[in-house]
Amino acid sequence: MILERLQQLDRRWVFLLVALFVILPTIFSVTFPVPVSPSTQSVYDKIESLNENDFVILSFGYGPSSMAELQPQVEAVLRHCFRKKLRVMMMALNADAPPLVVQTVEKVQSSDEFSDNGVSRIKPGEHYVDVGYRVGYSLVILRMAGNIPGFFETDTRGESLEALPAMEGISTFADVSLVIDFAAGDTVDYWIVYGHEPHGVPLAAGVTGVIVSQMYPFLDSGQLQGLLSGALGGAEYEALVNAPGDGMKRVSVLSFAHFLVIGLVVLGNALYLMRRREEGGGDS
Amino acid sequence: MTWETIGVWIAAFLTLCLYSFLYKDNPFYKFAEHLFVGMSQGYWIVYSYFNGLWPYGIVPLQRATVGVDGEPAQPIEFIVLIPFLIGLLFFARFWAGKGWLTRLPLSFLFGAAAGIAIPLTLGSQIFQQMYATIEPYSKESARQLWPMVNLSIVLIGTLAALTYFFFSIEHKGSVGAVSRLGIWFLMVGFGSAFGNTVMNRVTLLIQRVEFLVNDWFTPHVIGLFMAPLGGG
Repeated sequence: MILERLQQLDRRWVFLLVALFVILPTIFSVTFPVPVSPSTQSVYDKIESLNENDFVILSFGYGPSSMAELQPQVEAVLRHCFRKKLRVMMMALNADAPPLVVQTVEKVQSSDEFSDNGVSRIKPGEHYVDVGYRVGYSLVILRMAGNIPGFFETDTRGESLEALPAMEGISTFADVSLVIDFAAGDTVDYWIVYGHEPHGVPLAAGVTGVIVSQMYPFLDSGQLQGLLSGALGGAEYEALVNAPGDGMKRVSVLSFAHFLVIGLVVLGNALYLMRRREEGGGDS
Repeated sequence: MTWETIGVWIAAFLTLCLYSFLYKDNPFYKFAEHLFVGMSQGYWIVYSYFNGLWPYGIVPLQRATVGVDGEPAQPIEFIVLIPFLIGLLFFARFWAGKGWLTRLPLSFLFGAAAGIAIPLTLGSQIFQQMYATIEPYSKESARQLWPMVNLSIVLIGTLAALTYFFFSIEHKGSVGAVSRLGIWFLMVGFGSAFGNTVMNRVTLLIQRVEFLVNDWFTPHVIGLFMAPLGGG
């Protein structure tokens, strides 16, 4: 009787359960400790190994639909870069990424760590450059390779890149210490194929959970020097830079939802096996 | 009421409209869905125009014909003009009998993309991966037990999965056994992808719930009810 009712359960009860397992921990702000995985530690160690004034490119290959996972990653990484006094160039490979670049910079540079009496010590053109969006994914990377300031010409404020202190001595990919691509699509592949393969530019990535499985082979082969995986990657990096934020909050709530999903998968399979036994062993 | 408050209410309304689909399809969901698709396309077209066609196509043409910012016309940049004209041929399909002209930009695109992409893609996504599957055996660290086991799992998994996709031999006997092993490795891969996709989808839900609870319901909805009582 119970078995039959469970097998015919309206799936909307499952949606309601998922909603409750997300809403209640969000309201009560439950947090769990976050152990750091080796792939995230590699990104952190790579940035730690860089020297003051080294040049890092943060490439935004995602839009608002993926910001829940990637924004905590990019905020934590940018915080780390500013803390290490690295020069950072931010570029958008997606048309809907530029507002996210602005939002990220504003949030990190205005935090207490980088402000005195509400005035940020992090200055555009000096500590970072926002070059905005360019059309063409792979073509952008190909054209950047030989002359970065010549390709972008100006930053989003209209200032010539060649006149900016943050771009001093930066010409080609050979001058770039690290590129980190934050991606919800194919942009990591473009960086590997058109940036790393022909020019050897050091590359790391922060990606959404949907595509992270495709990225691990590049990590094992050394083509990626580190990899941040979805919401977990953001939470781990926040833990590493000791700046708890949205990532750590979300990954704790995520644990509740994962408990539920695992429970439902086990229950679903158990019901399936029980039904098959009732029907006489099935055909396999 | 500030613009920010209005924005929060609109965002909350549209979020609830979209999630209402989980109960059943309804006009609110359809409205939000069509609005989202239309706005995304509109944003993308306008942004791409002003960051692509305008600076790389229109402005150089203006510079060569009437001049820009009060400056006199400059010599034409053929490196800009030629791809611009080739690109315009895409619109030939709108004229009856001239549709064949679109083959020119298409053939250029296919040729250029293949010429650039094939060698680099082979190098980075095939040869490097083959190298990374075999090369670690030559390292000193691979002579220890667990690194050797790990490397062997990767090597056996790769060969077994490739065997599954090799269709020129019937999958019977030893080939069938290796092929079935390949299916197991593929299933592990799909399971990993499924788990990560669950993480992705639930994170999107968490972010919207955070917004609804922390940015909309608590300050605005509860605030609305508390205001007459002198609270909030």
